[in-house]
Amino acid sequence: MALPPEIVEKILINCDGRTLLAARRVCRQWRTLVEYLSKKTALWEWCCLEEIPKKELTQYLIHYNRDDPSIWFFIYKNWMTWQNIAEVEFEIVLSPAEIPRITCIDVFEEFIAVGSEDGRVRIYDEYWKPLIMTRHQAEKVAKVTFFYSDSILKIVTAYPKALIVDDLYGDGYNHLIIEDVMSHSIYKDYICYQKHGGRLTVEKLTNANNDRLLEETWFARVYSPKNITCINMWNGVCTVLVSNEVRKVDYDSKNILPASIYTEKCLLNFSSIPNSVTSQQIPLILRDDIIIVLYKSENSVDKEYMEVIMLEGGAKYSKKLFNTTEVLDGTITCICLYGNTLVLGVDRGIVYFYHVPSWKHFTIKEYGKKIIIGKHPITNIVVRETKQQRKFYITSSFNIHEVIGFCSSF
Amino acid sequence: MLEDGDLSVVSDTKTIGLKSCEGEIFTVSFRVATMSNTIKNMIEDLNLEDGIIEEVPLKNISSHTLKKIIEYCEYHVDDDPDDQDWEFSTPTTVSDWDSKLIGTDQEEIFALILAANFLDIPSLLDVGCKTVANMIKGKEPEEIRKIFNIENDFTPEEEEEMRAEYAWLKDD
Repeated sequence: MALPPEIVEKILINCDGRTLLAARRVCRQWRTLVEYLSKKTALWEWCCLEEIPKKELTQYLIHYNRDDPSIWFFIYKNWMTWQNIAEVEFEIVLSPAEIPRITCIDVFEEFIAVGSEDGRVRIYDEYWKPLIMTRHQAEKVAKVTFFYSDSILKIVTAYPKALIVDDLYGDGYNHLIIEDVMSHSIYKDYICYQKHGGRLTVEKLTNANNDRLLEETWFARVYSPKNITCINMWNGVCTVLVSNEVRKVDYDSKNILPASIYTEKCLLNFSSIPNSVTSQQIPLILRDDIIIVLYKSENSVDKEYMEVIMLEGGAKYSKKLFNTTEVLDGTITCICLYGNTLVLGVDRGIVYFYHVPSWKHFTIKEYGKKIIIGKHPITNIVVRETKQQRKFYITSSFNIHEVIGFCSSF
Repeated sequence: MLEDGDLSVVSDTKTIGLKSCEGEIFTVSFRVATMSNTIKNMIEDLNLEDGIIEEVPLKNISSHTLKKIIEYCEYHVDDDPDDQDWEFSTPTTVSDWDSKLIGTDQEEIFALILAANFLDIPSLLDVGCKTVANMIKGKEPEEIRKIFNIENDFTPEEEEEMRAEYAWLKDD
């Protein structure tokens, strides 16, 4: 008994995205029906909004043009592809760019920025055609970040003691210097930086018409500046870790005043590592709800532990501790969380890809893919998602590899 | 308040006979029968509101399916029609009573859907389509083909072409 197309259409409209992807491969008629529905309705947008966790979707949307209604299908397809990393097809390409002593990298749309030990920042297009090179100081570039709003594109270069905000195509002179900066974090058009004396400032990038490039939206003083261990800006939330206290402020809320108090505080109880002397404790805020702490020790057997702290709002949190030495071939040098994908880079040039549908079920053992990039420590991992693929730019001091993951079944 | 033409109130005592393809006649009240827009329109078009209609032949609906439809309509006759945003409601939920009635036999479900479509009973059609949507949820294309008895009509060349199209997009 065959059902007429108008009924198949009614069935398809009730399907989840995964089933719709399969339906496209059933037969010509079904494929046409799904395509017809995709045009007639906001089918894939519904699937994305219903099925993809909000925080993940926020991250994916950064890479897409919201005016293009076809993006939702690709966002969904990429998301679904990366649910099963073992099935993802990987391609590894060595960047042809010859850059001495790479320290940092960032990507934005078709631009790639690479900083090096000698103070130079080089900008390339996506095919590695060199576009611009700047050098403000002859010191190591600690971090390079694209800083943008709808109408402005800037680039922030972090030297050991100063931040420099440049136009991408500027003359190299018209730039803003923020001195004495210990650490900083950028999310789209907001920056948070910590000054030497313990002042935390959140500023918004504005149109330079009134001579002021940055507009202060919030600040706070921390009386023991040495205790600020990391800062993270993420989708409207600035998270700061001061000793073992997480402090958050909603920096783009309408009610924010420069001296507003923290929106949330949470005291953490870090784990003590069994039978070992921790020589180093490195915290890293991945998102406004996820903190990872690496405990490094001199102990030659268990060199490293990794703790995942899941902030649950207010003073509530839960945590999980993993002995990474048992699983990973090396110690962690680099962590990248992109949507449902977590990538760990280690000191022996290997990267591990994890599918993380929920952090509660994360375990260090269950990685979906292990890729050997080289033999040098992995120093940076950044991502660019396009309609067809996720491209991870993975650096060591000596080279950059593009690790491209995609799914070729139609 | 009784108004002329208000079928749902006036027609409570009137009955209509529905005849299945096997020739069996089921007598139901106007109120229940007019859950079907097809029957409702027929009654209105032919000005049959007053009398008792002895038989409406439904040549493409079996007794088995018709029984289920009547059971469904009798159960849902008092539902508030405004309460059902049936066209775009998500998630895909079907009430326990409905799913028990519909059953799990694929042939029966398809027959029910086709009949609901013919009789134009939107809520039943929706429940049927949702049930099928749940049946194919998470299934691979080959499994879906089996359920629907569909042949894979993509030629190997076409599949290759789509891959090629994809490969071209990859460099986008």
